[in-house]
Order: sequence, then structure tokens, then C-alpha cells
Amino acid sequence: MRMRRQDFDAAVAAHGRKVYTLAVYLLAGREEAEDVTQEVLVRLWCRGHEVLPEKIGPWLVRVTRNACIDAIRRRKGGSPVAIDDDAGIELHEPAPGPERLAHASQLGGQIVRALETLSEPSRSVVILREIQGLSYQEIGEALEMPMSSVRVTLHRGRRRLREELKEVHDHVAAC
Amino acid sequence: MSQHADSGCCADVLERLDAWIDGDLDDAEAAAVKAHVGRCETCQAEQLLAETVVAELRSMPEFDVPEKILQAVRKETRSTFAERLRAFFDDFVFRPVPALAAVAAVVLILLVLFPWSRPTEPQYTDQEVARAAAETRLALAYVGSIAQRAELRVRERVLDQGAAAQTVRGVRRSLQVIGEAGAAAADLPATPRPQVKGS
Repeated sequence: MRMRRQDFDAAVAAHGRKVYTLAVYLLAGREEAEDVTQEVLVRLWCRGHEVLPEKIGPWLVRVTRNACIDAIRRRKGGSPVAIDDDAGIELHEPAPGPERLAHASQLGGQIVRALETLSEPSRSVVILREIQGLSYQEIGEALEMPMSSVRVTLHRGRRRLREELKEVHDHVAAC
Repeated sequence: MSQHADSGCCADVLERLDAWIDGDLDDAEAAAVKAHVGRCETCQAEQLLAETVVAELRSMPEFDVPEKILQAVRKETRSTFAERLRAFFDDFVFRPVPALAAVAAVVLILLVLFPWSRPTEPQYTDQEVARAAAETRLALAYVGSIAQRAELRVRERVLDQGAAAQTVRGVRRSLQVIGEAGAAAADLPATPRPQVKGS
């Protein structure tokens, strides 16, 4: 049993961008993000029929995030990974290869790098909320967290980003 | 305005700064944070940085799935269809009853759509038989008339060329010779000459 072709195409049209964007920011590189996106969409084709149509979006976010964490584990080559206070996995390792995200502003480029320093689930929550514009409820459904935890995690992530960016921001402000 | 209005108060405000920026605090809490930020340069700077970071994050681009990935997914999901087909045939081993039932249904449908087992002898109506007999009679009559015309034409040609007269004369001479020979041998009167019709 598989998803109907038309339902699959509709889901890809509606959520494909969300999947790829999340993967690009979580993995900080497009090449790995492409592999993960392909893997996630094929999994949607195989397992999508088991998911309620209105839950496809949160399901895709969850599957994408898990696939990215697996990719980072593979990238680390089985080396020990740091566990943060939320029992998540630190995604400190930057993506290999020359392809990096380019941004017009100096602070923007620093933010991309600073995002890589965030632990999970803060990193996912910040990306989903601030870059992708999901509501607290959508993030909670996707990451299976209560909304209050989503809010606290988001604010903690933003505070951590500020700590990373303070020096750059002060330098930019001084100029 | 002091640079550090109250370090304990600053820690509390910084803890709630993001909630205040997002409008998640109730009115009393929001008023307290606002009042503190208004008189504390450190917290003002933190507020400015917080708002800048949020604005930068919200201006980050989203990305469309590259076409090559969509094509790869389409290709892979096509091969998945082939897997499904293979799985169907695997059912013969693991679930023979439903699989055979499905095959029987398909065969039944094919028999209805393409009835290749129809009788090969055509079935004719009485009308068709009567018409065929009439046409056959007509054809035979036509062949008979052609034969008759051919016979007449041959006869006319034979008569025109005198072939019959020569034959009659030859026969007559032969009979005469035979008659004379017989009379001489038996000393009998000669046999009267046969009268050939039409000579």
C-alpha cells in the first residue's frame, strides 16, 4: 500500500519547500540537504498513507529533523556527541565542502554560523519559528513538545544566538 | 539613567526579554520589563540586539526543492511501483488465496472483454441461406448458358470447315469397303448402304 500519486504530488507541492529549507539550515549546506530531502520525500511516498492528511506537515517536519540528526551523526563518524540540557544532540559540526550559505549582511552570515552552535531542539525551534514562520502549536505538533516548552526553548535559543553574535553586532554597530 | 539599574533586576528582565518582545507577557509583567528597559542601558542594548537578531532571522530566505531532486524522487517512486508489482507476485507464495482470487477476477474480466473462445463456425439465418441458394442457382444457370453457347459455336465452326462431311465420307467409304469384302467372302448380296442422316 502506498500513497495515491495525486495526494503525494499535492503534499510535495505544499510542504516540499518547508522540508528542504529546514534541512538546509539544520545541515548548514545544500548538498546534504538535497540528499535528506530526497530521502524524506521517498519516505512520504512509502508511509504517507499512514498519516492523516492534516498531519502531513508536522510529520514531514519531524521526519526531516530526525533525518538531519542521523546525517550529522554519520558525518561525525560515530564520534561521541555532546548532549545538551534538553537531552538533545549538539549540531556543532559544520557541513563539509565549499558550499556555504551566503548572505548580504555581515550579521546575517554570522547568524547562519551561530545557528550551528545551537543545541537541539533549540536549533530546530528557532529555524521553524523565526525563519519558516510556524506557529508554536505547529512546532509543538511536529516536535511532540507542549507549547510552553516550545516557547521556553525558542527564547533560550535566541538568547544563545545573542551571546554568539554580541561581538559581531558590537563591531558592526561601532562601524 | 543608570547603566546598571539593578543587576538582579537585569537578570530577571533578560530572562523575560524575548517573551516581552514576542508579546507573550501579561500586562503587568510587560509594564515592569518596559519600565526597566527604559532606564537601563545594558538592557536597552540587549533589547536592540534581540530585535536585530529576530529581524535578521525572519529575513532569511526559504529554498525551493531543486528540480533535480524532484526528478530523482519521481524516478525512485516509479521504481517503487515496480517493487509493488514484484510484491504482488510474492503474494502467490505467502498469500495464495487472495492472489489467485485476484488473478481469477482478472481472467474473468479479460474473457468478457476479449471473448476469444467464441465458436468459429458462423451461424447463418434462413434468409441468408435462401439468398445464397438463389445466387448459386443464378450462377449455375449462367454457367449453363455459357456452355450451351460454346457448344453451338463449336458445332457451327465444324460445319463451316466441312469437317463433318469429310468424316461422313470417310465412314461411308469404310463401310462400303467392309460391305464389299464381306459379300465377296460369303457370296452374299451386298449390304445396303447405310443412310447417314444429314449427308
